[in-house]
Amino acid sequence: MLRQPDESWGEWARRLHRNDTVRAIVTIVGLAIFIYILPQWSLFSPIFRITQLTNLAGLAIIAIGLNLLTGYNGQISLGHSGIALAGAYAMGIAITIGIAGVELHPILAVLFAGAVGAAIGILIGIPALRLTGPYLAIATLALAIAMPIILKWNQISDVTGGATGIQLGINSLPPEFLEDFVGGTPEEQAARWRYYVVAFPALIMGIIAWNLTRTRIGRAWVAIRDSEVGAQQMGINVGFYKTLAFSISSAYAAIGGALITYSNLSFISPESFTLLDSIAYLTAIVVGGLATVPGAALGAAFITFQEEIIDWTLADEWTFAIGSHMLFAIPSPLSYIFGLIQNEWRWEPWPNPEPAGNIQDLRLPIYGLILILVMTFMPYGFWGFFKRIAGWRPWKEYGRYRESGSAGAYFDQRLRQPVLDRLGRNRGTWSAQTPVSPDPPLRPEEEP
Amino acid sequence: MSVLVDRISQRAQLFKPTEVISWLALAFGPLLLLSVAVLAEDDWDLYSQQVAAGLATGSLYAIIALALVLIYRSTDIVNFGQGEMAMICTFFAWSFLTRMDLVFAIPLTLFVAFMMGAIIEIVVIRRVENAPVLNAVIVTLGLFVIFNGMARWIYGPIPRPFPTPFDEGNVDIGSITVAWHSVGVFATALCVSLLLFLFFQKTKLGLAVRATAQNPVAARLVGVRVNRMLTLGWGMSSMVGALAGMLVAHILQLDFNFMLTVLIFAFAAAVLGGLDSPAGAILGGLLIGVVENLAGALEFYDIGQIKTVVAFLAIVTVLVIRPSGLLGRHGARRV
Repeated sequence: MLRQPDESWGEWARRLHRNDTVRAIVTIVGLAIFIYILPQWSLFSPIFRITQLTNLAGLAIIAIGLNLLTGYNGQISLGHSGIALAGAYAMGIAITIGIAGVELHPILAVLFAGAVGAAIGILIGIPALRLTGPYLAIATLALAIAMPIILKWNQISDVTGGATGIQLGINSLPPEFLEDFVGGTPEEQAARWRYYVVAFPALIMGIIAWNLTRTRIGRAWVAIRDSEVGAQQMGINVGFYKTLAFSISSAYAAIGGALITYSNLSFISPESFTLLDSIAYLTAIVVGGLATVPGAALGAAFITFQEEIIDWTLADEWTFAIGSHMLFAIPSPLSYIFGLIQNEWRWEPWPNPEPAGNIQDLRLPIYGLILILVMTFMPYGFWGFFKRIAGWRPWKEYGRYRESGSAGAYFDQRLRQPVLDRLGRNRGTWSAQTPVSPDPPLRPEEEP
Repeated sequence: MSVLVDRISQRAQLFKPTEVISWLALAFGPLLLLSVAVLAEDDWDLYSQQVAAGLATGSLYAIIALALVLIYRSTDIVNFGQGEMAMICTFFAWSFLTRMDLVFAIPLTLFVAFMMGAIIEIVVIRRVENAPVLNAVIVTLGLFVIFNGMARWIYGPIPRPFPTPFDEGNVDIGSITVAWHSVGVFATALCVSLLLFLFFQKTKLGLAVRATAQNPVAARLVGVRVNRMLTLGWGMSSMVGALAGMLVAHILQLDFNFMLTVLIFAFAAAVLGGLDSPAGAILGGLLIGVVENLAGALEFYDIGQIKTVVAFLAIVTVLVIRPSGLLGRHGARRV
């Protein structure tokens, strides 16, 4: 059970991971944290924290979906905010106005939003087959710009509500048989229930995505990303799989948008998801780790928490607090230095100084600096960095794959390691095993 | 070097007639449709005024698109921070203007912009050159955020007027009125585009820059100083961006966000024209400006309300038919 001296941390973790007992314990503890401790243990979860986790889960759904498209299939998209907006509107219309006169149950409405997203994905995916790189980025960016404008269009405003949007009027209270389980004051109960409504789909969709990347479909996507011609030579229907990637990714985005709307906005307006959100999704997957599912979730966490952490850094006092129990506060040296720069040492660029910005304006530069530093020192994002420090891949091998220009190649190398059979013969790689000839019969003296 | 010269000059041959016809049809098809739609209302003045306004905004898009094309041509990176670099350089110009005349402030700003672009390339971009392409994209997004926040921190949120190097008044051409400044922007865009074209096609340095973007390894083998070419590319593009920023600031007022919308359309313009073609950037910018303004004049079905959608629809249609833009010579090589 203990780590052996010749074993890296990652090898140790993998050995433990193969042990059924350990896996069961880890799963149970993880689910307990997810279901009980995060939303319900009051020390860690004032209401704003639960809301933050809810947003994180919604963002993670969209980021995981985008990662299937951009990370695994190599098609960049800046249009996912438009698709999320379409999903949110599809859900809102299905709940309030109804589809063909039938007002849908919210769960069905979210699934309907997913279907709408998939349809939009197919519609974009087919013309996108001809485009690559920056050209595809602009074509999809058009969607992010156009969707809010179309939704405000007078011609369809009796359905979409024009610039004001749609009032949903959903009550986010748990069903009666779960009220005791969720517990808390009415506000807490509502916040916790919203958490469950978003976080469980996020968990399930994350698991689906993780499995999807390990099936024939995921392999085809990766093959197309690494070489389209090569994939075609292997008999993969490139057009079909690229469109499929677009449609599945869009379904994820639409469901994510619908759930975010369902959870923390009681109304939808055309400005709910803008181009800046699209850029945030792209940042999340690259910073978290391209072509990895947990990386997308990590990136979503980064996007969610960065503002608060940077604000804390810039505050006049650094308060260390857990939950609502404040522990202590010290004056912040950073705030002192920035104040000096701004007030004492600043070059006065004009004779009659007009009011300049305040220290909170430095949040954006610090965020940008973090982005640049992360990309410089963790080229494969948080998850790649984590894998490296865990020693899942030794540093030497990491360097070897640096040149290949694709983060996926680094993560997929595990699949390229030779598979050895019982007699130690090389059977090729996990994904392309050589045909197995019948094993030679064992001689009597070799019988165990 | 001579091998490289041969290879590139083969690529630089003139357009084939079929190509010319196809891009003419693509470029002017949407324009023709919209013109017919607008002229159906039998209001020639409205039409010509819209076209003139479109050309004026289009030349703003075009000149920033030029800077994007320049960086893409020399380093193969699409720079999301371009607009904000131009914005902060314009703020520098504003600072200089409080101490000197516009005639001296503009060259000084251009010099500062060149140095800034070069330093950014050396300090930041060089670290991610060998990383996956999306990393470079995120780094340029980081630059975007840094400059936006710094400008707000240093100069505050209040918009400022910015002077123009051209005449302040208007000029009457037939029935329409255009500001001299717009004419000046248009002329500047054409001049800069021509200068860049000459630089890339006719000088040895331009050839080396193009070679660096196409194949850094081969360029290094024939003796091109690849790193310096990249630095030069960033410096020049920052310079063109600063020029564009100073011209745009007169129209939109100097503000820490004034480049945002312009940048999106400049991107679209650069891509529409073909990311590696300066002439394409001009053509793309003007087309987008005119199409958007003409669509804005349409009354039926409230199309004027969704004029941006019409413009982007035209762009996407063109891209689907010609995946590397109107004048782009070859498709993108990397994702």
